[in-house]
Amino acid sequence: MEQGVLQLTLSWDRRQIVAAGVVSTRPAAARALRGLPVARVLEVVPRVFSICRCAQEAAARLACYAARGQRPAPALSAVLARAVACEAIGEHLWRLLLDCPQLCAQPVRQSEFLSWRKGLLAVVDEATAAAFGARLAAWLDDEKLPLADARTTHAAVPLLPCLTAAEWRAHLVAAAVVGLPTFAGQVAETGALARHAEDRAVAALLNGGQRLQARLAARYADLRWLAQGLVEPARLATWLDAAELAEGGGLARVETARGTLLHAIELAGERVARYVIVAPTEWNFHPQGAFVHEIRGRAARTRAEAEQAARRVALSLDPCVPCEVLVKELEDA
Amino acid sequence: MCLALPCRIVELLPAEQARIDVAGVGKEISLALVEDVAVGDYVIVHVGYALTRLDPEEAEKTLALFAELGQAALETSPNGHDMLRYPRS
Repeated sequence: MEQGVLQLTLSWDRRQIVAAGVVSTRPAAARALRGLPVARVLEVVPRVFSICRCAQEAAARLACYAARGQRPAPALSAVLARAVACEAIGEHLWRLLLDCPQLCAQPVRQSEFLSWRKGLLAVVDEATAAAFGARLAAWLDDEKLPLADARTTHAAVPLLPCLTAAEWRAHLVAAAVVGLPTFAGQVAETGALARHAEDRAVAALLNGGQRLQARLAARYADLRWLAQGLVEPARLATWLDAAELAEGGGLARVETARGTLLHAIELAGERVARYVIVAPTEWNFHPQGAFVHEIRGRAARTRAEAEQAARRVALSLDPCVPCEVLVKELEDA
Repeated sequence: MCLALPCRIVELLPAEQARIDVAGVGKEISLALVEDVAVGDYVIVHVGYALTRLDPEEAEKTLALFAELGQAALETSPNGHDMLRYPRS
């Protein structure tokens, strides 16, 4: 089994990107969990999904607990929430300090990132988490929002609402169509922007049509929220939860840097009868989703500009697998 | 889905770079985020960076797991995914 890629194909007429297509070769890995004992699932998930290991492990644990009609002990819940929050912080800092500068012709801030990464690795309990959160909050106060892209976009997909696991139950069937999730019959965008659309700075950018910039501002808002969550860990309880489903089923919802992650499990005794994972990338890179909507109509005078525009939009939506960009020139241009 | 296969370091390069072997194809990555990596070590790679170093035993277990899951995925439902019967709670 390979990790897969997202193949982003752009139709370009030498003036603008006319249309785009997304093909995902990411394997439906969750189906391979079918038939495994529950204990084995909890061993396999963090090992296989190692990029967002903490979120995936937390989701698997919470879904398994819910399937058995149980809840984790408060101490375990706190440990899971802290690990997931730290992982999300690390992912945001990676995008902001290493990836975004490369696409904006700015110097990569590698030494700063390494320092934060060391700090995250040193978070082992409430006290170290609180100290780290306070340091991060202070740093964020001095950070200036980099200019990602001033161009406006008109087509936008709805933002995925922030629901609890119990609320997700009614929407799970549509969300769980692998690679084609929908909410209330529509494609939707998940991620920091969906979580912080009400933030004043984010809302102003959204209203001005600066969606890339709004996504960047939302990342900072997410980081501020998470930093505060490490200082006041009770707040992190809203970041992840679980709900029982009928007939030995459990559903877990865990927020990640990339967006909402869902795990649904159905047990037959102590073994997995069904297992479904809905990852954020499936929402944002739906064949009719946010990426496709947003790249369409973007000006590009050269093939390289078209590719760069696609990489910028893709980065702002933060896929969890590598992207391949193919620019196809329209013959009648 | 955030899957990541362990990759073996085949050559150390200047400026904290290294070459890894990905299914027989060489690829250059950065070692800036990991310490004490040697040729033959396995690392988890994410967007061009080695993210974590794995000891060989861990890496072999993970690679075996990917092979096992790949086989299992081929043998399960022909439409490519599990179908949910929810919601019924």
